[in-house]
Amino acid sequence: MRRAYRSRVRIYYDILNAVMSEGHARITTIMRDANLPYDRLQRYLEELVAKGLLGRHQNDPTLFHVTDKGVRFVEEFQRFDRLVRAFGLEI
Amino acid sequence: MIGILFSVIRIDVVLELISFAICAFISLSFLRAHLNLGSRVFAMLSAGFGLMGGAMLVRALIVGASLFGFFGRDLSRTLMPYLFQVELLYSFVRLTAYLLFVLAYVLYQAPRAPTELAVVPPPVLLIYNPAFELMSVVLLAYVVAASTGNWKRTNSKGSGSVALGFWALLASHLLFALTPLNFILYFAGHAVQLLSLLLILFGALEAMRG
Repeated sequence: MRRAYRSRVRIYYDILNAVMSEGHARITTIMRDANLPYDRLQRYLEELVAKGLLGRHQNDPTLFHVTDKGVRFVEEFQRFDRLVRAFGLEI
Repeated sequence: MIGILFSVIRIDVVLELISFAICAFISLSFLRAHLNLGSRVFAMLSAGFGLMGGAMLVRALIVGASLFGFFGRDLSRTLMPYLFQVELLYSFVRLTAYLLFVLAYVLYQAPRAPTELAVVPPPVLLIYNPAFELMSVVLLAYVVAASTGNWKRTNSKGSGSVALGFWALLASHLLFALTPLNFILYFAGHAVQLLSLLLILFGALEAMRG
């Protein structure tokens, strides 16, 4: 039985990964790379900023960057994703 | 003769304590993953291995205390009448752990190729010993099929070790079930159970190392 949706934590990872791959990224880029509609992405971006995983550029609040905490989250996600995939499961 | 037999029986307590330590390590690794990422699949695996390990620890300590007087003769006499209940609780907790593994595979199985046949969950029945061993085999058969399918797809060393670990865990329950044929199979079952956990531990460490 395969789940037809992504888990919240995987969506966080996809967003952070999209921003990391660009260095800094705007909403339209993240929408495309993380495959999310605007309204849902806005909600997740607020959550990620509130959790300190994502930061807004000081001079341009529409530009996002991944914080040190966010980088650690991405690294942990990749490590534990490999672990769970060894069991044939997914996060 | 009985003295020799009892000195041999201690081996199962030792093997079970080692298995507990491995289960605890695997469980804590998954707990750490759950606390860092908040994903339920890690919580299920952590709880599954934690329950397995907890059941092993309690059983090893109580059997050790009651049969071999690990903690004094008074406690041994007090615990002896409750050995049957301990075995019942042990079986129930182990089955609960396997049900959690099955649930994790039902809910969080990685995507398969569309042509591949889906593994159908087995009917869930909770039956007490000696059916516990056979019930464990039925539940683990699902986990074995899913993890072996994953190994075939990924062909990685980590997933291979995990799949072999679940195969060995299933084999250990078959050996426990065949104990009436030859008592040595009981110890073989414990040895294979320990091997299974070592394989799962190796697979987990291999996968995390990348």
